[in-house]
Amino acid sequence: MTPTPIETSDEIERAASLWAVKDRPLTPMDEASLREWLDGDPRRRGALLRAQATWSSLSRARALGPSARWQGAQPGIIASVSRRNLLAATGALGGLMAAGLAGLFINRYINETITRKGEIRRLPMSDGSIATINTESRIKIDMTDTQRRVDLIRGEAWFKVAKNKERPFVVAAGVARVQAVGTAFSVNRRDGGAEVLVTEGTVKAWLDGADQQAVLLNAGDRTFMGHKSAIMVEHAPEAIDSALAWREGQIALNGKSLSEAAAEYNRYNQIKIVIGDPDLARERLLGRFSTDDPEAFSSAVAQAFGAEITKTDTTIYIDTKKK
Amino acid sequence: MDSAPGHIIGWVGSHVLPHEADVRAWLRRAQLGHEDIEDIVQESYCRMAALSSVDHIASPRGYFFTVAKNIALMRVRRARIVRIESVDEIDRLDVMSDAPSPEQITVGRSELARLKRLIASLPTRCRRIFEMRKIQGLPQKEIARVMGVSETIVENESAKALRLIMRSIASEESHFQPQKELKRDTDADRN
Repeated sequence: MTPTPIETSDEIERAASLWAVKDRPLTPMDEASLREWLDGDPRRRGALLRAQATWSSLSRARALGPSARWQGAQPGIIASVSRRNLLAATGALGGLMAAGLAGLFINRYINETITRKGEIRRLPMSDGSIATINTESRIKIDMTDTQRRVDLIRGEAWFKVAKNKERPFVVAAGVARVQAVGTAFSVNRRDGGAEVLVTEGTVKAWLDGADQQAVLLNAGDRTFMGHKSAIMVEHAPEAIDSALAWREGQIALNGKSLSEAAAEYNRYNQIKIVIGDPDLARERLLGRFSTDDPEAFSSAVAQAFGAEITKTDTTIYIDTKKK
Repeated sequence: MDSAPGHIIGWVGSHVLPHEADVRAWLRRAQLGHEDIEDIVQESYCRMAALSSVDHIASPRGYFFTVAKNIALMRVRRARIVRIESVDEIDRLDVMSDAPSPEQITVGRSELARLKRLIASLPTRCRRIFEMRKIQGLPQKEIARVMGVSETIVENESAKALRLIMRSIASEESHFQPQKELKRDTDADRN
């Protein structure tokens, strides 16, 4: 934000606390060196004020009397530890029971789910896996005893896959195929192909009919699979984290331009954000915002860049202020 | 030579410091980094050090928040890439600096209990020296004689006690609840 300071606020605090506790009045020599210290950096006066104010307010400790009188017994630590152990044991037992039940009931399970604009849905599946489905998407799930298949007909979904070697979990998105054993990944179907982001474990990805050319993707890898292009894998864990912020109902603006950010909002909301000034549209932004609050985003933009907002029923116009 | 006139130091100690944890909590909510928060808090105290009178400040809490807000907004706007959620969060200040909640008023009563905990958690030598200075009010020279150490050590240990206490004040849990969600609900009810 500002140029790197020569002295950190921590170092200033150290020096300030030494000056604050010195017996007053100061000796002429101390007086001179304190003046010199204060003149060296404008931040130091603030640090000294804070230290002196704290030190002087600590005089109310006098009301307590010597600590020998009020320092009592420590609270019972042993009791709380044993209670925690007990809780851990119950948790493990619950996990075992859940695993046993999952093994017992395997049936065919078919489900088709459609999300509307702005809707993000978490869909637990019969095998213990979870699909989190983004805005304007459509997925079809077909589970049998031998395979778990998901068709991503439109949009984007993130899958947290329950481990099961006997029943491969395959997502089909147009020509793209992605297979996981026990892992987490997302598939985003777009024009001309599908984007795959892996958040945990390993997945195998290939184009339909070309499974000899399958590639392996590990946690933090992403790829775009199109009809013609070869599958190029890129390792970008942070970018993946931001790209999947929608799972928490957020948009991550990690250096996105204002126009890209507006396009991202427009994926989720009926009210459209429109940027007037092209220079303003190129400004870069950081931060996370709620997908369903374009108004808060717009007013923050207006505040940050001194822009002007005009609202209609369907649109939020953001433009530079007319002089 | 001092940071500020005595009455300003006293006013900061009794009326401003108690709100520091809340100001920090609010800056953290605005997604500002640790160093940024330290700098903003320090700069806020700098502005207060420049005051010659505090008679015009009706609400020290509101004043502290406003000063921190102006500094934070200036820094955020100056950045090459604007952290937009920070601007939004900083902008909600008016809600955050509302009058203290009932919990906050009772906080004052537990002040001494908290101070006890702070003192009890100091390292032994540090605590003994702190007690002699602040509870028994002994001069530095006398403490050095009783403890059989140099005056520099007394000074260093006192400064250490002060720093540890300032740090726990800074990291204290904030006592106020943001009220914006509540306000939204009431708006919705009215519609």
